Amino acid sequence: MTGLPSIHEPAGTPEDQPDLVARIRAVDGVTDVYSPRSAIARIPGLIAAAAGADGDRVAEVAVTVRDGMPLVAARIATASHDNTPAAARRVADALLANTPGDAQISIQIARIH
Amino acid sequence: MNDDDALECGRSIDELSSYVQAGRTPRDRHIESCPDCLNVIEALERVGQLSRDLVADDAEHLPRPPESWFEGILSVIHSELRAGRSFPIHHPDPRVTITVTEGAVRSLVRSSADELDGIYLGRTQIVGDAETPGAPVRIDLTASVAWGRSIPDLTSALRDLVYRVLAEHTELNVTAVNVAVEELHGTEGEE
Repeated sequence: MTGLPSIHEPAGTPEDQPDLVARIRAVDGVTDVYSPRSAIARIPGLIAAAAGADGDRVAEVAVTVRDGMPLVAARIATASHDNTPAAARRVADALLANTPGDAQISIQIARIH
Repeated sequence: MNDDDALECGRSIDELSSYVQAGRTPRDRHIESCPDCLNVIEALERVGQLSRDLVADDAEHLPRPPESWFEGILSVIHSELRAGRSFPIHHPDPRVTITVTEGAVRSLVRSSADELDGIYLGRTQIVGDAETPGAPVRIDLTASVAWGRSIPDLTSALRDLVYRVLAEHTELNVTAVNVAVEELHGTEGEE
């Protein structure tokens, strides 16, 4: 992957732009993706966020810059019938495969249900 | 609104209780997209369902917990389901940081314990430096047990369940699960 999605890029936009939300949702054991905390999403340095909508619900994966390095932050829910650490590691692997090589990845599991 | 009454997203337990009582209508875009709110809503809905089930049981033969118990549970939900601390999960790539929120873990423990018959979870405390990988932590629980049921059997079942759930969904180094039975419900003469 060579580029990052534009700010608040809606889901289903050009195929050459990664839909990180959709990629996370496709990971086994993931039941949902939430927007990162507003405090994170609004900090200076937010350069991109991939957004996905599901009815009246909103999800985003935030991409910010920290110390000159891109930081990709996702907040997720996992299924209680699956192994949560394993599911989260699969999400991290999916993001590593779809972001620049110098990107830091931050995943927060906010709900297990 | 008092900040003490609010989740980190700004929504209060009272707001969420009202939303549940209204059948989650009209749909609130924030609440339905916020994991902290959803954890609370799920807990409130389970308490509501439990209350209805126990009322139905009471009509037949089983005594229900006192109202004070329900009030206590609501108070616990209020205090415990904030996102709270972040517990680490290992990933071999140093570029990756994975955490699970304390609120998510407590919510999971509560929803799992609700599936046990005859014992109801009260407070859940995760004691220790749980934000440091491998640091020993203990889980302190309080519970109410149905009158006439075996306290050792039910507390053992709860302890085993919590060990299993935390082993499957976290990387906490749980060294003890302590269960204190603080109430019996359904005793003679109780509401």
